[in-house]
Amino acid sequence: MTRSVTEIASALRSGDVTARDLAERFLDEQHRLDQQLHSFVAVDADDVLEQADRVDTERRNGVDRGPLHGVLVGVKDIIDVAGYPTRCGSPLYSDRAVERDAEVVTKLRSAGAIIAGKTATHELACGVVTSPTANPWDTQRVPGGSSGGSGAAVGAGLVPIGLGSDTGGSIRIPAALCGTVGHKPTYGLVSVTGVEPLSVSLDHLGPLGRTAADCAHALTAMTGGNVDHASMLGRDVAGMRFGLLMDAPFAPMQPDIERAMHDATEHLTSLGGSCVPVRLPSLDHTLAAEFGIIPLEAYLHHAAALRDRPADIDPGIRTLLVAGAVAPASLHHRASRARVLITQEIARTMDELRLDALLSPTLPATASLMTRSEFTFGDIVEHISVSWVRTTAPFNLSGQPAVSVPCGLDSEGLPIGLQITTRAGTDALALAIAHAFESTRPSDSGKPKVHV
Amino acid sequence: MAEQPDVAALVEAGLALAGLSGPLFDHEAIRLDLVDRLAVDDALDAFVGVGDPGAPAPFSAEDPR
Repeated sequence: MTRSVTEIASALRSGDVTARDLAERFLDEQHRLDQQLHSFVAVDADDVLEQADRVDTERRNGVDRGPLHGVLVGVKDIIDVAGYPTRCGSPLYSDRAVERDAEVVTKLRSAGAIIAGKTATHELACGVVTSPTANPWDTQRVPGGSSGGSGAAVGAGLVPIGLGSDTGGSIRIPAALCGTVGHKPTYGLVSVTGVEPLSVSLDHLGPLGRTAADCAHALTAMTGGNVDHASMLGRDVAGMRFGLLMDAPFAPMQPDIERAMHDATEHLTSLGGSCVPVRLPSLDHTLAAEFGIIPLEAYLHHAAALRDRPADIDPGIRTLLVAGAVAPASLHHRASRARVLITQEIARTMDELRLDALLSPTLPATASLMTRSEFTFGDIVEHISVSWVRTTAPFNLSGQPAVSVPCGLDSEGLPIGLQITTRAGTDALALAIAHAFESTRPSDSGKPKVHV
Repeated sequence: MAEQPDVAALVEAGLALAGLSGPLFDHEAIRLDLVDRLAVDDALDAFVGVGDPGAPAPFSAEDPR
């Protein structure tokens, strides 16, 4: 199961392995590893095997639906999958199975993907911890969130692809912490029909995968296959210009991450790219804009639950929803205006400096212990939900595609992520740069402690 | 700095309008949370220039820094 999507597709085409083989192995490993990881919240074994048998029948009949044909995909439990309940990590939701797939799931099925089950989410997709899911690199540590189940499942090699959603970093955060690739696509590229929202103007759906190429193939399937987001894989980064973001809000960061960023830029330079430092002052207002928008939009969706079942909502999330109910609408308005200015400054800076992409640490800190709620950077003490959002949220606000790709390990052997951000609509380029980076840099010496 | 609304009154009115009542809705805690959020709003005011609707934003595509 640790093989890439391309390798799996090749093995299935050649008959070296059947989809049923892969499905049975997944079911065995998921049962075994999730005693520790709790990455999946629901797996229907009979359904998984039925899907696999259909794939094998199709392949025997000469049907080839492409790279995802027969590939197992974990689906975050805010995304509807027919036959499963959508619980959103919350007691507010019914255990009754939904009847229809979300549009993105329909598209994945059309591409031949096998839906492996539902992966854990932080409650209401509103948080960065995803308790009780554990990080496969150290089960005493969090996998990040809110797509923590998909991060842990892909990081452990249970499935090659996991679906996530990302409102302030919820794909890229678990990807960075679990040592996987995570791609937040351009805003609106992937349909959110059939997906429980958190904040509609900031929500994005995207893949977590073992490699950037895997994410590119998954994104192609998730968007219906009309645009091939893997089309630029193999493109040379020689001659590309990268803007390096190391000031606020990306600073402060752990020293190991600063060193990994230095190594990453040196590596891209060795491939013929050039890196220039960039400062974007408007990003100082990232959190104010992000958290000026989320409460009102989240409240609008959860108003009835907040009124009728407040005890069934985590106190911290309840506070955020209440703020959405009582804060003046001008807060959202001003935050939205700040968002426009942030988006404009990023675009103008990339144009003026002729940048192909921005580089930054995905996160300023690696996976924290489950018992810890704060990070310390010198004199600064910061809640993890601030630390892990300030570096990712800028690109939820701007709607640009942003990939997190592993770029090394810290002194405790925990993964570090490099964030690569390109212009809106250039997802294939972002994934191609990530692919060039990951396929040419030396392998890290460590691996997850819990894996297939 | 933008003129601050009466936050306590805002909380009372907001909770009533939203139909939120009961022990889980501690008005004083909500008021304090909102004060924090509106302090952030002040920073946004300075950034977006909302305090004076006629003032230009600190920068724009036509007004490079």
